[in-house]
Amino acid sequence: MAKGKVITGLDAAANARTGLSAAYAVRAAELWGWEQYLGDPDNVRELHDMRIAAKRLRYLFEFYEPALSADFSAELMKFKRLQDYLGDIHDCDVWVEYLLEQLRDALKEINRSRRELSRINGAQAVLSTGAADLAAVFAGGPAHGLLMFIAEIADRRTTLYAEFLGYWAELKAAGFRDRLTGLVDSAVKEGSDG
Amino acid sequence: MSDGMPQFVQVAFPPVVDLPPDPDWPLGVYAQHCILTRFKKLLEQRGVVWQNTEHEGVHQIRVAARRCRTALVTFSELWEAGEARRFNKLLSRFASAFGNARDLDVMVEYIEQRRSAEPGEHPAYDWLLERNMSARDAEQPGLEETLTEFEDEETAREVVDFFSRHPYDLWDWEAADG
Repeated sequence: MAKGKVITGLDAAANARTGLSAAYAVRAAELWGWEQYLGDPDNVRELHDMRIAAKRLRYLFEFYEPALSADFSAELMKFKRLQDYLGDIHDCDVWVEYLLEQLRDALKEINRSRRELSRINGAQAVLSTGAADLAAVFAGGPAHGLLMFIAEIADRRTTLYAEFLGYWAELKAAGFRDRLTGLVDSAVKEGSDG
Repeated sequence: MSDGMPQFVQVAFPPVVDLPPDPDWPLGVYAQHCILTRFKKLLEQRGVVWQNTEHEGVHQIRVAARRCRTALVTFSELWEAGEARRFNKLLSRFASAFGNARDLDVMVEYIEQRRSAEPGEHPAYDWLLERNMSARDAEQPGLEETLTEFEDEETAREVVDFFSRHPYDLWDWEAADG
């Protein structure tokens, strides 16, 4: 996971809004710095880092909620939606990894029985019983369901990723980043004017 | 109350922590307020995690720790580098002790929802539930150990003492001063 950069130039005695200005510049640059990786859905790690960068920025907005204007809440809703996409896509990646591990365990037992069948010489009657037993274990066991679950999660991830790209493009076309920057600048300026 | 639950230390916070934050305070005070309010929320969840009757405690204690750490990293320049790093590491270690339990809680909840939404037999869901629930039970003693260490090492007092007094002494600071 990429670490957040240290925010420099902070002065404990200065107006607290100066911290918003300094931290926003760094954290927004970190978030948008991951944009270059969005073309390839296989960039799982980069997408995870982008999610963390979004979370850092969102927490910054939370810390400075009293400084941000009412207009900001509409932008914050859009930001939350962005985070939801990143979070849901990440959940799919984590789920699939976890389910594949579970599948490996589920197949262990079946593999053990399969190896026992392989030790039988020729097409003996005992093989018929053994194969039927194994088929029953397979049908009643978790492997089939796990595979269907994995397929479903993978499909969901594909859909979410496409939706996320569409939403990102929409925000970009609407000048979302500039709008956030403008509102943050106003919040900082309000303090210096007051 | 769960067996063996310690008497969690009750730490006093400076009065300013109970005030809504004012962005026209000095940055130092604002940053201290950010950390202390989140840390207070973290402390409130210790008993909930120990009792293990609802999943929310583990989630909330992790969220509070993460917010605390984000505030600490965001404003780290306001403290001695070594101190900020030390507290960040301490909170990171604390929060990571709850990671597996949280993942398992989420999975159990999700699978339970799916199973009840899809009537019929689902061996995969049953298999996952059984394994996850027993793995989650196995996590609980580790969580309790983490909380016990947290108490034994007086971490709560150490964090609150430090961030109540650096960079500003919040016990002597009044909002009107700002």
